[in-house]
Amino acid sequence: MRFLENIDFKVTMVKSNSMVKRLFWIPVLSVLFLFGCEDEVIIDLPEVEPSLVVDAWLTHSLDTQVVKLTYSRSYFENAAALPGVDAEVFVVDLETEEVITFVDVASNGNYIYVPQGDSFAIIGRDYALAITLDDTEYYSATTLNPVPTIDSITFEYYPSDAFIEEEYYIGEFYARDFEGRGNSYWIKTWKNGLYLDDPDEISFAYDAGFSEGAEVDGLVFISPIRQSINEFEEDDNGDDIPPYALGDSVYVELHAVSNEAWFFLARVSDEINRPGGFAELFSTPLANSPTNIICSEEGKLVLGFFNIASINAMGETVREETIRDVFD
Amino acid sequence: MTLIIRLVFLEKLSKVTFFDIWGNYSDCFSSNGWLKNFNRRTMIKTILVASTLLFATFVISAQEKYTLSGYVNDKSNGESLIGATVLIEELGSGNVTNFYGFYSITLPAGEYSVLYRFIGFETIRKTINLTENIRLDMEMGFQDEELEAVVVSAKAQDANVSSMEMSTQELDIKTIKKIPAFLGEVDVIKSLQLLPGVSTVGEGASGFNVRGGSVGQNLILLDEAPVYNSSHLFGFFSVFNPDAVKDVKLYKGGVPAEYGGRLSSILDVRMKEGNSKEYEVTGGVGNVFSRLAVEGPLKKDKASFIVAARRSYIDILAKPFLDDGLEDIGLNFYDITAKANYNISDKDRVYVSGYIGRDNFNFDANQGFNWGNKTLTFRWNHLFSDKLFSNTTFYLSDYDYSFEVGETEDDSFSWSSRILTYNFKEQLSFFINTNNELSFGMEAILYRLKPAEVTGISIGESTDLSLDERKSFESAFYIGNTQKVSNKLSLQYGLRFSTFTYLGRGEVYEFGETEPGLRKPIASVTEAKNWESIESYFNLEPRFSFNYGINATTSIKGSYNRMSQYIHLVSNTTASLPTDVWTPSTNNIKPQLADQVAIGVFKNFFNNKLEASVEGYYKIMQNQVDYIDGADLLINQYVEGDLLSGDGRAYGLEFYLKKNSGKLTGWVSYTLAKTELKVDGINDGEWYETRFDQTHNLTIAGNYDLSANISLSANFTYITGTPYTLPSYRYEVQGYTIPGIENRNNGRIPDYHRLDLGMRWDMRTIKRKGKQKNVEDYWQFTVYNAYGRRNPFSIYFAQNSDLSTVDQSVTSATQVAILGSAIPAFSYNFKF
Repeated sequence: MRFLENIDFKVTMVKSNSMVKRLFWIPVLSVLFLFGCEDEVIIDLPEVEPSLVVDAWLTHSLDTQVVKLTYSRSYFENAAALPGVDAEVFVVDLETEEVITFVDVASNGNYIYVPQGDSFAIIGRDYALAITLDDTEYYSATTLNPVPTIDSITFEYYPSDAFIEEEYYIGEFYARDFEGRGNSYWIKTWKNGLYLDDPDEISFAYDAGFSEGAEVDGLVFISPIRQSINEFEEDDNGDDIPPYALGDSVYVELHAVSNEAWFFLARVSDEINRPGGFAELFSTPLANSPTNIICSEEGKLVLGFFNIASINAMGETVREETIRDVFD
Repeated sequence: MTLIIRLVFLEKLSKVTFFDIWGNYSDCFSSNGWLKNFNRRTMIKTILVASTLLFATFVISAQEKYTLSGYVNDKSNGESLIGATVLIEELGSGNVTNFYGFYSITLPAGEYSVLYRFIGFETIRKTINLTENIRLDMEMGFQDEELEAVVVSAKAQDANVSSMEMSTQELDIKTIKKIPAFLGEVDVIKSLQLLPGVSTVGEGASGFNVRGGSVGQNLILLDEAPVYNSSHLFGFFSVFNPDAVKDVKLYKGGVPAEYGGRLSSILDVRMKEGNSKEYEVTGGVGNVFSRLAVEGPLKKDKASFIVAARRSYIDILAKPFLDDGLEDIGLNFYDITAKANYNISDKDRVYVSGYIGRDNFNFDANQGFNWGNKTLTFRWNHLFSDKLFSNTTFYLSDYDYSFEVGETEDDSFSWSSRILTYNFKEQLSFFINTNNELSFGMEAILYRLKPAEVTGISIGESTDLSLDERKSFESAFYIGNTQKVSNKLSLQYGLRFSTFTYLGRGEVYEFGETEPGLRKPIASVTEAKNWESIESYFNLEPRFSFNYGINATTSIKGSYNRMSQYIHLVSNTTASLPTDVWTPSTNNIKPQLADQVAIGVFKNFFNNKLEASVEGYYKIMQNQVDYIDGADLLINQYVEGDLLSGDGRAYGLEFYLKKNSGKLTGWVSYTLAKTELKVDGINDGEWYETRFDQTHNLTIAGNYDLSANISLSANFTYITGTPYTLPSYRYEVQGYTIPGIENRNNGRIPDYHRLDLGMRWDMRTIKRKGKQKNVEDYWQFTVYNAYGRRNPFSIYFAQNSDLSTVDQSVTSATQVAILGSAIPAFSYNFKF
């Protein structure tokens, strides 16, 4: 039952609609999966004009900072996106008016800035992003928020069950949300060095819970968020892979993001996390994800997001010291 | 006063009063100028005509009059017969029994021949000498089987043409039981979906859509108490146990004044009273449910009861196969329906009925999800006189769901939600004379909506996420008259005055302005005291219908009605969910309003063997509830800030052809329709088609009696694919491929068609030795989706989730069929 539980768990306290809905199809599935089926189909989609896409998720760290400019393209176009080249890209400290220039070194739309010995940003300050491309200007602004410290990462032992046919471990990271409402977070996880990038692996938190409408403030992140660092995957034979096995490593980054960025992540998760099957009964209509980029030319569509996050990270391996045997 | 003077007088009077009312509340009406004018003018005219006619009815004739009244019952089991015709042959007119089987006719003294007619029953002719008030309770017996094949038997054979009703669908339980059903489970709501103007977004979706209305715009009444969720297992089965249901009536339009509270339809399900003659046990074993019903007299001919129960048993069957931590997984649903009645005297009769249903999904011993309805109805029928019938109802309806997860007490989450509805209702019918039946009454409803009682615990620290309980009060006063103006023209007209008050205690939110389609910012929060009135609304709802008989087999019927709805089902998913929240009208959410005009031609052919009708309708809806993208609808105290309000319109043509008698019975129903919404903040404020818009909807349903023991049935459905939203473009942010859309519902899934087959095989009723068996039993075999079409429910777009193998995620579209193969089923049913 572990498998279901963990999905439930992800889902439960979860208020994010699509996730709650996911819970419901599990039992239905167990009864009716014999009858349902899916087929890939080809659909004619309308052609649209390309729009500029700004992918500017900067961090308060010594990593190379990248602002990526591309163009949107037809939904079924699976070739790489066209890069937005020959743009001028700046980030401005709104307090000191210091300007940091990002340069497209390789002419591939990746505008980079390499921090010199110290991060370019200071916690608590406001920053603006300014882009000039083809005589059009684009702007955005955000605040760099502080991040709580990850206290520990542990692994719970589980014997094999009906779904995972070997012993396995469920990882959990512990951190406490700051007091006061309106802190938002993005949790990124690497398992054995591989980034968990599936649409159903997007993990975000508003205070210690999932969303802003309900108040879960100042607590340790609730259990489905703590356990969002697990990967539930099948192997090629359709068998479930243990989320973690002895010796596996995990690296967790907790990003403090702006409220707008949290909402963006929540919206993106709703739109791209489409498990299909019976979950379709409870799906919401496809809708656009928000952007915080403003275009100087009125009526011109621009996509993407600008955020600067402070990060706290922790790595751990599944070993005797980190295993909690709570299963009875 | 002559009629003319009275009219003028009334008009003078009304100019002041009604214009005043309309003027003050014009903001309740649409910004469409024409609609406002249309409303005012038609309303006033309607009211004028109505009141004039009403006055006219009270003109007392000099002649001595007496009343013939009584109840009409089924001889075999004492069940009252709803809608039986009592016809005075000399006058060619009469009365139809009401929901309790009561009729009353007032006539000048004299000798009359009275006909009692009801579908499938032998017509009874009585000669009466009316020199005083007569109470005549009638028991009617079944028609001979052989006769049934040749004699056309309808309530009134020509009811399709002659009755006042239009835009109304009635299904008797016998017909419902003949329709081949999904997994062999006879289903009231699924059967309704085979009728014109009624549809669903697809298999597994709960509820139904009527004439372009959403699922939450149907008032589903079980013995007068509202059922908030009419489905088991999401939408696969409905909550009504066919063994306990007597009569099902769906009003799509032309709604009488006594009903209100929802925009689109009223589904009035009436339970059986129970056999008052002898004990009877019915039951069945099917693939999903087992059913058992017991009924019988508590006191012969005076009091009876029925208790009917169903339970799904897949969990019991599956138990032996579950191990490895799956032992505690559970899935079951059940319902219990019970009713008792007592005939205290000739003048008084009391009923008590109740329903309890529940769906349980248990993931393990302490985690699970369940929901269910409970209703309890007390009714008292009282005859103040032979002419004045009163029904007093008190009901309680309770819908709740709860949801618990968490492996340990230190990390858990529990959430429950509840809607309690208390209602007191007084309905009076005044049978003035053969030409007029006046009904009037009032209704008072208290809603207690508890959207969320929530406790979240994270490593032992708990937090209370509960939302305030919301109270509101709804009331209605109504008056209506059914009048036979001449042999050709009958009218039904009435007025319902409804009010709604949003009450404290609780926080009251005011929101600031923002760009339409975005979450509204909170401007102020104030605290309302307990029972303090926060916001009030009222509406006048005129109802009008006419029937003009062109000849004995043809009539034209038309209707106009206004409906208002004060509590709203908040759901932004394709199918509605058990967890969908009902929210009252508040200072931020206005009541929904609908105006509908319908007109139709009704004709019977071949001596009433074939009934045909064509109806057109046009409906305008205001204050429709919609949602911003990314709306947070569950456990959100600021949910009102995520709601949008818009206009709706729906129009269509419904064709219906029905054959009632002979070896082959059945119907063809075809609906051509369109339903659209226009919401500021969605689709650039342009009209868009709703998710349940279906251009063509065709159903052919037939039943053929092959022999005395075997009957075959089939139904075929063809429906235009429903709209859904296509992505137009894609872009990447942080490695995720995000879809971009230009318009909502700009694509359509492929068309839907399906054939279902069924066979009923009655076992012999006579033993070998020639004795009558005391068990009546039959087998039912069905194949749902006989040719196994993978009917699309939806199409979804997703990125290939495995990015490790390629740099660029691959996008694709996938079509989902909820039921993609033929589904055979059988059931065994018995009665003794």
